[in-house]
Amino acid sequence: MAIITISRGSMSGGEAFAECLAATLGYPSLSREVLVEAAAKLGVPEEVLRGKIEHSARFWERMTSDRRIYLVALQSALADACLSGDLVYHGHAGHLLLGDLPNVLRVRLIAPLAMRIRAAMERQELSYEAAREYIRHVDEERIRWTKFVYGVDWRDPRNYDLVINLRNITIETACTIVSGALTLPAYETTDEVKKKLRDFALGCRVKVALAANAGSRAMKFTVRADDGRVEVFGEVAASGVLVQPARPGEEEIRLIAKTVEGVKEVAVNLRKFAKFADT
Amino acid sequence: MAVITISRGSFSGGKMLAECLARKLGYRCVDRDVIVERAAASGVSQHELMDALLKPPSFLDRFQHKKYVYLTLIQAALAEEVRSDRVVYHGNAGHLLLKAGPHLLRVRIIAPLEFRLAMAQDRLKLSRHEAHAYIEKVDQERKKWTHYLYGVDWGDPALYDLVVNLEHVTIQDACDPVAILARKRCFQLTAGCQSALEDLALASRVKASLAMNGPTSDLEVEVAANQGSVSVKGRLFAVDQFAEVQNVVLKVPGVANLNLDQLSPPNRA
Repeated sequence: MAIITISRGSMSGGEAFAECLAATLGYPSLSREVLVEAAAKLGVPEEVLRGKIEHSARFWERMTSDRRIYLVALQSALADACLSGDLVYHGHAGHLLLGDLPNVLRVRLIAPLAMRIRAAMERQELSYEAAREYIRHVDEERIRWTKFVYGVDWRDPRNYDLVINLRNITIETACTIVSGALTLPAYETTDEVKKKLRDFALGCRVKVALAANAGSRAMKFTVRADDGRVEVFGEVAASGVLVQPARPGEEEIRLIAKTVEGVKEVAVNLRKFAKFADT
Repeated sequence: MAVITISRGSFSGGKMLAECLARKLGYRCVDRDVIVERAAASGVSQHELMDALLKPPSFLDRFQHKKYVYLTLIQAALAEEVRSDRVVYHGNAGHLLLKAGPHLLRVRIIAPLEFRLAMAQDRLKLSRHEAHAYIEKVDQERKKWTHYLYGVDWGDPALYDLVVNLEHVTIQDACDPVAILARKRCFQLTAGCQSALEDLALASRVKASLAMNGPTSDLEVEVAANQGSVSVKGRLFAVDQFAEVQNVVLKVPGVANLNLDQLSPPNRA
């Protein structure tokens, strides 16, 4: 029982790997496309959601609040999908969207460039040069994007629990290793884990409500939930925004958070900042 | 017969993982000291061999060639050690010395700094600050060593088949997926695996013989072997070395054919 996030470069066999895991373990499998659809249902405008993920950092810099809504919605949709405790997610940044959540096995697949070029040539009917250029471009965008949004190096193996090199390992074998790892006690979905998943999902929903509200969307929030009791920490908008919008007061924020289903109590603190970085 | 190599920073639990794997799979554990001892049988001091394995060459190193010779000896010792047995090698640079291939499972473990600090403090009786400095220094040396000698980045995950992060799991837990992989791989004594190891052992033996034989000892060559057929690639310093190379290589047990087409004549001064 666990949540598996799969990170990989394009044309590295991620989809086949996810399918194999889902079939072996009987887990639902979720792609980024499906996640984006789910995020759209959370009341985030579609034009904000569509296609933004491949854009470069420079583009994002001009879109701070749109970006926040997008990420918060994506995170919330993913958190909802995790509630049962079983999931195979093969989209970008799953391991980063889920933060410190327990029971997450963060897997990264790497494949030799020659192998990826071959796959791109076959699937997209590209010439060798075009395939190589395509892969280089997509990798570069993703590296830049992850660096900008999460401040980490997408390739750094320290961000994953397992890095599997497909040079000498087949997808089927990789699938066996990962499903084998899940039998470890570290990945047992205990009641405590389930509570943490619920708390995380609720906190994410509160963040979506705050990000979707015109009054509070320019602010950055960190939310902690504990069985329906919610604590909201607020931060002002990113520097560089020339016209600072009027900040909503604690009471306004409390009311917005209260509308979220499952929230029983709300504490708002706009002075204290949570120590950890969050989106 | 197959080999698992374990790469890691100092105090990251590499030995513990090796022992766990050896127990689970019925493999033999081999550490750096065993290999250095075996390499020292050629007459070179263990101390110098150890230096070659640990210290990065400096820019002003006048003994670059010495390093080549020592590493050649170490490689030959390692290839011989793993040739006919199932082995977990948890010494340095195993994944580089043994070359990639289906016969080899290259594992890297990454341990969180806290884990390493605690272990270094405990083992070396250091303060936290000293342990930190120690780990940093050794990591730097390893990075440089790998970069100078093999031109690769030690931390690059592409150099390994599997990278396991100990942030959320214990070493005992990490042992399982590696053992599953080892059982799954070409590791069932297939003929292909065995011959890959035999070829490597023979090629390393030839390289070491050339390095230890007076008239050819100044050469730096690449040697490939394929079921007794050996080819030597490199550049000679003197024309008469050609015959010497031929002479030395053909005496190495196991060499059936010799191809010297890629052995270039000396550069004209």
